[in-house]
Order: sequence, then C-alpha cells, then structure tokens
Amino acid sequence: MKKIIIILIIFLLCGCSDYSELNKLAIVSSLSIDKKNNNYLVTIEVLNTKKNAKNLTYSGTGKTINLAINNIQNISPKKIYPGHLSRIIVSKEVMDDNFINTLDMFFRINNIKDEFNLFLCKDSKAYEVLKKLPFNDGLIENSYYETSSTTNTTLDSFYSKYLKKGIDPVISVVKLDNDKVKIDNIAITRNGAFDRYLNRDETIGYNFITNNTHNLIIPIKTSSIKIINSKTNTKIKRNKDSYIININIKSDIQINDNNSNIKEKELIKLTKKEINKYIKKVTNINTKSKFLGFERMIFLDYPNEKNYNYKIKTNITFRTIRKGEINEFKNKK
Amino acid sequence: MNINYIKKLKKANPDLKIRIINNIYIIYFESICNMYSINEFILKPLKKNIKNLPNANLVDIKNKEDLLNNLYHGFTIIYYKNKFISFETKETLNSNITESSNEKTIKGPKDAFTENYQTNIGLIRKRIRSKDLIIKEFMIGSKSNTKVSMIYLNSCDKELVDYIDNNLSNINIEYVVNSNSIINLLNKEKYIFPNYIMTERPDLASFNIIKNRIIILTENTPQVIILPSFFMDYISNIDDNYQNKFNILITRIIRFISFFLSIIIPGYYLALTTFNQETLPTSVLINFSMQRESIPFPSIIEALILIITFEILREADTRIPFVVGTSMSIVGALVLGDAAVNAGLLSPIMIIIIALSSISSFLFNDNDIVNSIRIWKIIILLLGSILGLYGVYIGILLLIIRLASMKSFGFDFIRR
Repeated sequence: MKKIIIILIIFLLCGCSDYSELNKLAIVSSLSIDKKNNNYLVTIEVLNTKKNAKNLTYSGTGKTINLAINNIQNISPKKIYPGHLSRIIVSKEVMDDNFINTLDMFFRINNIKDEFNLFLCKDSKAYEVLKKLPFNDGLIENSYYETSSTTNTTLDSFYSKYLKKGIDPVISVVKLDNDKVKIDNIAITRNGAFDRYLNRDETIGYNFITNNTHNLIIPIKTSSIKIINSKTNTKIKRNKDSYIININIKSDIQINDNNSNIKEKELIKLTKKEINKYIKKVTNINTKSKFLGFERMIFLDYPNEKNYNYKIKTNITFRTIRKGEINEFKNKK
Repeated sequence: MNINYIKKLKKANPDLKIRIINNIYIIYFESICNMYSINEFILKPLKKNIKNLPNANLVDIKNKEDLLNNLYHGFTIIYYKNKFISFETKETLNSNITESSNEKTIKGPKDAFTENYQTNIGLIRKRIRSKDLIIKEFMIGSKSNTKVSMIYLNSCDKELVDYIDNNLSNINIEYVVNSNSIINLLNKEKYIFPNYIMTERPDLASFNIIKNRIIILTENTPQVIILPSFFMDYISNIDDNYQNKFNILITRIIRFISFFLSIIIPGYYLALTTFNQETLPTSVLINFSMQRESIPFPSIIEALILIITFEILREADTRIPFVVGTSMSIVGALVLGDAAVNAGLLSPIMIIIIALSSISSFLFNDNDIVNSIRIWKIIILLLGSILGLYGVYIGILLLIIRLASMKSFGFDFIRR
C-alpha cells in the first residue's frame, strides 16, 4: 500500500507541465533590442529546422522587453523557446537608457541560459546586424582568440563585474561594414551605462592588462611578430601616498617574417616598446570609468583606502620559440 | 512379486519383451535397450548354458519399485528361481556432443552439454579430476522419474548445500519439463533479473564449481543451473579467461556501460527532447528537431511503436526456421529502417536510439537478462515521458534499489 501511495504521489504531484515536442518549438538563437518611439523593438532569430531554408526572424514591439517577446508569439507559428539563446545585440539607445534594469529580465526568466554573448551595435540598428549575422559562424570566438582585438563578454560576466566594487564591465562591439558584420573592438561602461568606444590599440592594451591576450600579431616596419600564450601578472605595492602597479607580461613569441634586415635582439626591443605604447594608450584615456579594475585590486588589499592614486610600471619578458631557419642561414654567410 | 505381475504390465506396454530360455525369463524394453548387448552378453551365453554372465552394472532386485525403476532405465531383468537380477543394457538415445549453439566462444572449448545425463556428468568429471567433487543424485517427478543431481566441491558453503539438498528432496511434482522447472521450485524469491545462471557450456559449469558454487544437472536438458550467481556474472564472461586480461578490462567496462545504456538511453532521449531541451547543445537540438519535423506521433508513441516492432521481429526470428529467417530480416530491416523513415512515420534518430539500446542488451547471452532489461527499459521510458529527467533519475534509483535488495540463495546479489 505504501509503495502504491508513493508511486501515485510521484505521478500526480508533478505533471507533464514542461512537456513540448521538439518540432513544435521555435528555437531562438539570437535576440536584438532596439528602441522605437519609447517602446522596445525586439527581433529574434529562430533556427531553421527544415532542410535548405534560411533562419527566420520575427519582430515585436512592446513597452517592456518581456511584452515585446510575448507579442512575437502572435506571428510565430511555433512556441518561442529561448533556452538556447546564444547572443543578444543591443543598440546604443538601449544602452544609454537604464541598461542594467533592462537586462534584469534575462536573469529572472529561468529557462534562459545566462551565458550568452552580449554585443553593442555601433552606427546602425541592432535588428539590421541580427539579420546579417549568420548563426554558428564562430566569428566572435575566432576574433577574440586570434586577433585579441575584442573581448568575450557574456551576460554573466557583465553583471558580476557591474556588481563588484571598483571595476566596470566592458562590452564587445559589432558594426555593419559593407553589408557584412564586423567585430569592432570594445566599448567601456560606467555605472552600467555607455561611456565610450575604444579603438584597436586601446583594446589590445586592455587585453594585455586584463590577461586576455591569446594570439596577437604586432607589426614592426615590414616584419611581424606573433605573440602566443601571453600571461599577465599584476601586483600592487604601496608607496607613501600612492600605489605602484607592476604589470608583468610573460609571453612566447614567434618571428613570423623578418624581411626588414633588423637583428633579432633589436626586433624584440621594438616589440616591447610597441606593447608599452599600447598599455600607455589605454591607461591614459581620460575617463572616470574603472574598466581596468586597478581600483578593485587596491580595494581588495586595502579595503579602507579612499585615495586611489597609482602609477603603472610594466615589465615584459619574452621567450622566442620559433625563429625561422632562413635568417640564421643568412647570418652565417 | 512374481512373473505374473510383469505379464500384466505387458498389456499396457507393447514394447516390453519377455523371452524364455531354459526356464529363464528375460525381460526388457525394446525401445530403450541396446539389442547388441542383450544378444551378445545375455542371450548367447544362456543358449550355450553358461550361467556366468559378465556385466559392468548388476543389481539384485528386492522390491517392485526397484524392478520398475530398472526396467524403465533400460536395464534387462532376468528372472530365475524367484529371483530378479538386472543387467545394464542401456541404449544411448541422444545426439553426440555438439558445439554450443546459444553461447558462442572465440578461443574456448567448443563442447556443450547434451541431453544425456551421464555424458553431462562426464563432461564435468573430465575437467575436475578430484576426490573433493561430490555428486548427489535425486529422483524427481512422480511420473517422469527424472534424475537430478547437485554437483559441488567439498569446500562449498554447508548452509547452502543443506538448503538445496532439503529443497530438492522435498520437491513434489509429476513431471520435470526442464531444469527451469527445478529452479522455479528452488527459488523462493521472484525477481525480474535472474539470480542464477543457466548455461550449456561445461567449462563455465566446472569453473563455477571450483569457485564453490553448486551446479544442478537435470536429465534430458542440455541446460545446467549454476547458483548462486551475482551481478558481476552478467558482466564477466567465461570467454574472458581465454584472452588477454588487460584487453578484457576494457571489454568489461563496455559491458557494464551497455547494461545501463540499454536500460536508460530511450528514456533519457525522450526526457531530453520533450522536457529538458536546454541541456542539449544547440547544434544537436537543431539536428533532432530537423528529423522530427514531419513526424505525426508524439515521441513516446514513436518509441513504443519501435520497441514493440523490434520485439515482434526478435520473437519471430527465434521461432521461424533458418531458411525463412533471412528473408524475414530483410523485410524487417526494410520496413523498420528505410520505409518508415521515407514515409515520414518515424524519425531516424529514434531508430538509432532504439537499435542502440537493443543491440547493447544483446551483449548478455542469457535470454532472461535480455528480457528483464526490456522491462526496465520500458519502465524508465514511461517515467521519462511523464516526468522528464526527474523521472529518469527516479527510475535509475528504483533500478539500483531493486538490484541492491536482490538476494541469490541467501547471498547479496551485488557484491564482488
């Protein structure tokens, strides 16, 4: 009898409420948010489940994002299923207007993964970018790992940086370039709102400081040097009134092409100078945003400190792992 | 007890022969006796008035039951001066030792048990030549009078021996169909998973005798029962002993995985695709969704249709003769594999899932294990279709509880 009751409880107390067949779901992969006459314009990309057809896009408007998504259900024949959302593109108007509260909804809905990429759209409407951005193209990952000229921002990391003291989040930027989507460096925020865009050099500097550089090619005259496996270790020291921040960069380099007759040692010196230039550019930006996170490092070590003055020192060490045979041969001659 | 009693017996048994030579009665069953040995060693000497008859197996008969017993076992009875003596003249009425048909081996010995009781004992004696080997014989079945023996080593667990000894001697049935009817009476607890091994391989039987287990050998059945048996016996095969032990480790891991895989995978697939879609990678989800695009049935109906069709095919394949079998499997494969997918009735991924589950259950050569896996497969499938992953985990938990609470003749079923 007990067994029967237990089995009945198992079956009756939890019905098949979540039940839905796969072919009746509209799997949302990307979502864009725009502003239109004080309303939100939300566009979703639904993954195509028929052979040889394109992904579909649906748009809906509403006073809140949730309502806008709900309104899309009037157009879409299948049930909208945001569980596999992998990127959100927002336009600058949305970012200017109480952005943190806008994103709040994505944390509250429980069937959304919070690990999707977040993009800011530069110079155009977000839905235009969405319609041009192909799914699963690896554009973001490859750009991040191979060129180091952008960053990988997920909603989760964006929010957690926002909530911490002494650090402000950054966001990757996309823009339309000749009808194709192009990854265009990053933008920095202050108090959860848009602050300014960074250019390529500043972004590279930012990635060096925050230990996000994977692969990078630095041109020196007509030669180029590839940086692989760069690691950055940042430490702070207290001076009387101010702090000294030591940025130690250790990386492996690879001399890919050297056709400008510069000797190797010279080449390495020039590369170090170049990296120092990148770092100086990003630290000299005139902004109140704490996107580099130095204030947070000071706060963690000296919680009662109110005076955040610091100087930056960089120390770069290289290990050459591949020189190339041709050059050596030339020197011997 | 006299000769008139036997004459009465002849009315109901036309194959009973009674011959009289020099006032000596010679009584035997024509159908189960060896004519050559009767001619050579009984009739010829008696004709020549030689009274010393040589025989390997000679019994003095005291009562009626002995008399009948001996007659029915192929002995020839000689009646002379109110005295009954029986001579062994048994005819071997069975096939030769053949290759095992149900349990295949790559490197192991190819012989298998037969229907002949003495041959079967011989196959075991051939492997264990020790004075510690004990063979205890019972006569079971009031009508069939079948010989059943338990074979074990001296060092075997005393309680287990006593238990089986008591139970075997107290069995009261008319007819022993097979060794299966013996094990059904011995086994007090009823489980879906078998807690004994049934084999037709003498090497497996002898190997288990050495491991202090008991073997029950029944006359007229090529299957021998080994008890107690444990969960690890599903995973390990006797064939493993004939191969490199490091490679066998991987084989055993594969068997272990496929045991759970065959039970869980249909329910798990159903739970993932109808309830917990967020757990699948996006590209996999699109792939599954594409395949399900035009399927008219819900997933659970689709799965049940496939499982039932497959079971029908399997049952048909074991019953029909070999010649028809190939044509049927072609039809089955075409109907299941190709036509159903082309007609848009079943999705290819569901066929893959059910086929994977069924194939992995065939790693276990005992039909009982395959059938019990089938029952648990359906239980978990139903739970998964109602409750999603939550249901699948309930099902797995129930399965583990069930396996862990099983006993095999007083021993825990899961142990090493």
